[in-house]
Amino acid sequence: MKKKGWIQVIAAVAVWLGIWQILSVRINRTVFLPSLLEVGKALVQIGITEEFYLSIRNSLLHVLSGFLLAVTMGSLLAVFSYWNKWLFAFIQVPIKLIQATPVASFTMLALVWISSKYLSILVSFLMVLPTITIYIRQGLLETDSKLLEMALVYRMSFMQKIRYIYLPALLPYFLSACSVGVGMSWKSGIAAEVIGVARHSIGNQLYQAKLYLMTPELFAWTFVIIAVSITVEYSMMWAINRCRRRIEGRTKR
Amino acid sequence: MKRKTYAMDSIEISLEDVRKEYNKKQVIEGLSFRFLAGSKTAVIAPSGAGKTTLLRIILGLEQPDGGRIQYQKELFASAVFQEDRLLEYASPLENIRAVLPKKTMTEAEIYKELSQVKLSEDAYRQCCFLSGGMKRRVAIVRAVLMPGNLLVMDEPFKGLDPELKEQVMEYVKERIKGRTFLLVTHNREEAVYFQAESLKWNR
Repeated sequence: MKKKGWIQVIAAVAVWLGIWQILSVRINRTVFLPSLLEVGKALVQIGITEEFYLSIRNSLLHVLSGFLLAVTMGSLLAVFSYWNKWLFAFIQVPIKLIQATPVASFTMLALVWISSKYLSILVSFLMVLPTITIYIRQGLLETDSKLLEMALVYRMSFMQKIRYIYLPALLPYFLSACSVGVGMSWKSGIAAEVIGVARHSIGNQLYQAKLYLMTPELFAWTFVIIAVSITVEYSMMWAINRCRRRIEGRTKR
Repeated sequence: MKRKTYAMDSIEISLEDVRKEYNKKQVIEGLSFRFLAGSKTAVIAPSGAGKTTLLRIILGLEQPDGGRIQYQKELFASAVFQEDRLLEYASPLENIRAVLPKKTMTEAEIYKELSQVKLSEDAYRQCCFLSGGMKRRVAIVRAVLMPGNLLVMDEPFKGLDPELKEQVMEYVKERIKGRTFLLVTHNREEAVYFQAESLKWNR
């Protein structure tokens, strides 16, 4: 982002924080809307506990596991359904069903089958799977057919086609899918933890804060969720972009 | 799977009463012709006469609706298509290396070939940043360097400025020896330059 762009973002954030502060002073009830300072204090307080890091670690581990599973499974489903139209028709039914089902319904159902400890893995996996499958299949469908013909004439091997034609064509779709999916998995995973009251998790911390009307802590944990989500998304995009440059090879502009 | 390696060679191709239609419109009507091994043929016909369709049938990208096409041996073709069909994100060098069988040519050798058509300065630049004429030259070098027994070019010199065109034509002429060569063109002078037998037809 350009320098001017950053200034605009910072200015916008500052204005919204100002509005928040004014509202909290006007309402003057911490339980409804705590001030910035109260949230900051709560953040420091929770930040010095061991539970804080344990919760972040567990939630991160579970959500990322679900996300990576979805990426793996979704990519495979996309490839196979691209090759086989019958398989595509077959998997479309559960994909549409998953897309239409609310996170809460899945979580409640999943609680019947598995322990709340692993709930966020399953829920984040299920929520991201359709996105990854649809995006990657779309990327495969839009691979340049003229390049594929060229590859056929030049007898490029299967691996060469993957390396030079499919992967570069898929990368933008994969990148978009991951960008959308990582946020989705994080939100659904935390929601599952809240409903399932999973021990030592961010969701549980949120639930406890809400249960005891500790609104500053509730805000502080929400801030942590947003911060972790942004960090994970940026780290992932950075890693994928590095792979993209490696795939696109040694070229100069 | 290991890719079959092959060298420069020629092939004889026979067309017998080949027919092709699109949307109930006859594009090729009972075409019979024999492309002799090592021959040079220029396909000259007006736009829309089915020249590109004929090339696609010969390259195996399309099946004729009728008639027969016979190859004297296994076909190993390289082609300059109507469009450049390059890997836009990759450099000219990478584009050529992507299609060549392993260990056919070194990077330095490919670079030398590119410099023959005035692409040495752009050998490492991404193709998406090259001009139309530059991309065309990359497509031509790629087709010429690919070992095989048939070289097909569909209006390859279109869009090249006259001076460069002459240089590129000379480059191609020197490197097609021994291979069956098929050139689609509107320009009779190109056919004459390559001393190619003309295959003319009007639908």
